Parts: sequence; structure tokens; C-alpha cells
Amino acid sequence: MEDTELLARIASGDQDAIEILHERFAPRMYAVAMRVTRSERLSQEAVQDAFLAVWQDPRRFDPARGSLGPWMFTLARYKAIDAVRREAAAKRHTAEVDLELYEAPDDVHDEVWRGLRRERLNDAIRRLPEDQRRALSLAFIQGLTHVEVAEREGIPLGTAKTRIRTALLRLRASLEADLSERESPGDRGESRGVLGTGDHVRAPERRGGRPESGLVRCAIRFGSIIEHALKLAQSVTAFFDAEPKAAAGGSL
Amino acid sequence: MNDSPMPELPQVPDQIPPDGDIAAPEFLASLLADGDDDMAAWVMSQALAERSRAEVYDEVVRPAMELVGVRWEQGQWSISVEHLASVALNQALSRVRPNETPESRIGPTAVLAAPEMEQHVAGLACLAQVLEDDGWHVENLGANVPADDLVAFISAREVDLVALSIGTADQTETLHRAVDAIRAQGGSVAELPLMVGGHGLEAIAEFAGASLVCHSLADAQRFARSLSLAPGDADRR
Repeated sequence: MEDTELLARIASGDQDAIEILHERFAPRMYAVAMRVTRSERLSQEAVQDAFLAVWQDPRRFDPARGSLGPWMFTLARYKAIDAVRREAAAKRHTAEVDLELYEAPDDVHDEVWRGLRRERLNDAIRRLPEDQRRALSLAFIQGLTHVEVAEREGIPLGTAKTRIRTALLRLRASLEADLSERESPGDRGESRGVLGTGDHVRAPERRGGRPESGLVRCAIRFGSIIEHALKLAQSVTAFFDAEPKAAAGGSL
Repeated sequence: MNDSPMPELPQVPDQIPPDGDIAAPEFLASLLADGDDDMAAWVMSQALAERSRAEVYDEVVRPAMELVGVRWEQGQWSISVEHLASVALNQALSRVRPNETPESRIGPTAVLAAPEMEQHVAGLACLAQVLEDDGWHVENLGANVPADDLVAFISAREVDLVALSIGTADQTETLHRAVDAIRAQGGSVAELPLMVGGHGLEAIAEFAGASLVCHSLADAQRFARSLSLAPGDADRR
């Protein structure tokens, strides 16, 4: 059957004709597509796409411009290039989604950590004796001076200072226990190294671009916050250790 | 438009043997016009697996480039496309060139050139490969070689064959000048086997001063083989 007759039959919806055409040209079209895509899957798709295009509109072929075979090979090549383009676009899209998923855990970790931090601090504060908890709250939440805390509580200044200092020491002990539970020695060292520079770059960048697991990143961030909390507690404690003389001198 | 659903077509077997039928001139022309030298070379290699180099270049490459020229003349393809096709062809040819062998370095020497003002060299590139396949050492000087310079080049070395090619009939005159200059040199240069060929010479049986007017690469190959030169002949002179 001549090519033009075959195409005329395809135009009339003759399913046998497209099968004959497929048998006649598909292997060579596949070879052409393979040369473009280097992928069996994409090449099969390209050949199917090419035959679908012929099926849908066989009049696209103009016999005045050449014979059917080269036209089919050219069509296969174009469809193969389209398949490569689609695949590349899909890979780009996948990479973007991966990036979003990659970045999302940081937000999740932050949010989880914020929750954990609140929960841990609240737990530690709740475990304090009532008088110490109240003194701490007056000093650090309401911002009262030690003298004001003492006046508000109706207790001597020294007692107020002792309650606040003892409360801080208890919090420190409690948070240190959390830190030792949460971090391995290696993680602790790394987190301190990172914290020492105040560097909050992404963990993967610190490790030469190698992605870290969410667990490791979470541990590092957890250690970071704990260490900040400890430093704060140490600072406040140091302040209390040094302050009595000045405070006594100022108030008395 | 065909609105009825297409029947399910079978998957194509994964292993497809080389098929020279892919190497249709129209397909090769479209590849060259797209600058796809990789696929053009692959198409040529499919044909070379089944046919001789001279046959493939005569029956596939040459008609493909003629088709490029026709499309350009008809205004279907621009000058840029034609130039892209020429560049792609050269790149594709370099991908399918014969492998160098120890013998190819000591083979008889053929000097190929296009005369002054002639820029078309695809034919020379094809001829070079056909001769290399037969063990010739080819020195292809390419486009636009002044006659005096060509003579000086040939005179300065041991040459066994000269081939000159033109791409258009307009260059017939410069071709004459080149042939005349070689023949006027005297001595062994004047006696050298000299082939001419290319567009514009298709209807010509003889060309003054030329040993042969080639109408195909197969003609050129036959003539070169008729010289009965073998690897190492140049060393025995």
C-alpha cells in the first residue's frame, strides 16, 4: 500500500492503516528517538506521540515536499525533543518541590523547638517552689528590681535575692539535664562551635553542602537554644553573685 | 482532523539494528538545517554500516546538501540556515571520518583544494574521507587557495594526486586558472594525476588539463584506485 493511500485511510479513521504505518516506521522512529533521548521510556513516548499526531491530523504530511519516511523520522525527532523538554521541566519542578520540602523542616523544627522551649521552661518553672517562682516572675517578667521584689513580697532584700538566685540555679540544673539528655558529645561540641561564632547558617552549608538529617539539625538547634539559656542563667547568676555589695551599699 | 480514538499500538522492541533506510536525504537535510550534527553523523553511520563511504556520500549526503540548496533557492530556508547546514555537515563528517592507521601516515599523498574565490568545501571533505578509507594520506587545503600558492605547495612536496573542486559554475574560470598553473609548472608537477569535480561540471566530460572530470565520489575513488599506488609508495620514489 502506498504511503499516500495509507494516510488517506488513516484520515478516514481506518485503525488498520495506522497499525500498518506503525509496523512500517515505528522501529526506525524509535531508533531516532533513542538517539535524541537516550531513554527507552521517553523514546516509546515520543513514538506514541508521533503516531498520535499522525492519527489526529494525517494531512500535516505534504507529499509535495518529500516522502513519508523522512517526514515520520523528523516527526519522531521533534516528539523526542519535546519529551526531553517535558522531562527536564518535570525534573526542575521536582527539584523546586524538593527545595521547598528541604526548607520546610527548618520552619517545622523552629516551631517544634519554640514549643519545646516553652514547654521545658514552663516545666522547670512549675517545678520551682512557689515563693521562688513568684520572685523570679517579679524580677524577670515584670522587671522589678531586687528591692522592689523584696518590698512587693514583704521580705528582706537578702531573702528576695536568695529566692531569685536559687530559682535560677534550679532552672540551670534542670536545663542542663535536658541538654545532656538531648545531645551526644559530638553534637554538643559541634553546637558549641557553631554557637561560638553566633553563626546561624544552615547546617548543610556548614558541612560542605552535604545535607544533614532533620534529627541532627534539630539536635543542633536544640543545643543552641539550651546553651543560650544556660549562658543567660550564668549571666544572671554571676550578676547576683556580684551584686549584693553594690545593692547593699545602694539601698542601705 | 481524526476525532476517533487511536487504537492501542504495540511498544517498539528495544533493540533496533542499524537501518540504512533511516539515511534518507530529506531527513539528513532537515537534521543539517537544524544544526543537529550529532544525529546527522548517526544517520550517516547507519548508512555506512551497509554501504561504502563513496556510495553514502554520493547517494545521501550530496542529495541532502543539494536539497538544502534548493530550499534556499526557493526561499524556504534562509542563508543562515544554509550556512548552519554546511557547518553541521562538516561537524558530522568529522564524527564519521575513517580511523587513522599506521599505514594512512605513509600512504600515497593526495592534495585537495578549492580554487581561489571558491568557498564550498563539503565535497572536498567527503572526497578526503573516501581517499583516506583507501589508505591515502590526504592534505586538504580547503577553500579559496590561490593558484600560485597551490602550485608552490605541490612543488614543495611529494604528491601523487591532486583534486580540485568547485561549488558553483561561476568558479569554472578560477578552476581553469588553477589547472593551467599546475600544468604550466613543468617537471613532475605537470604530469601529476589531476581530478576536477563539483557543481557546474556535471554536464562536462572533459576539462582542459585535467586527467578526469569526476561526476561522483565513486568516479574519483575509481580513478585514485586506478593509479595503483600503495602505502609506502611515496617512500620508494
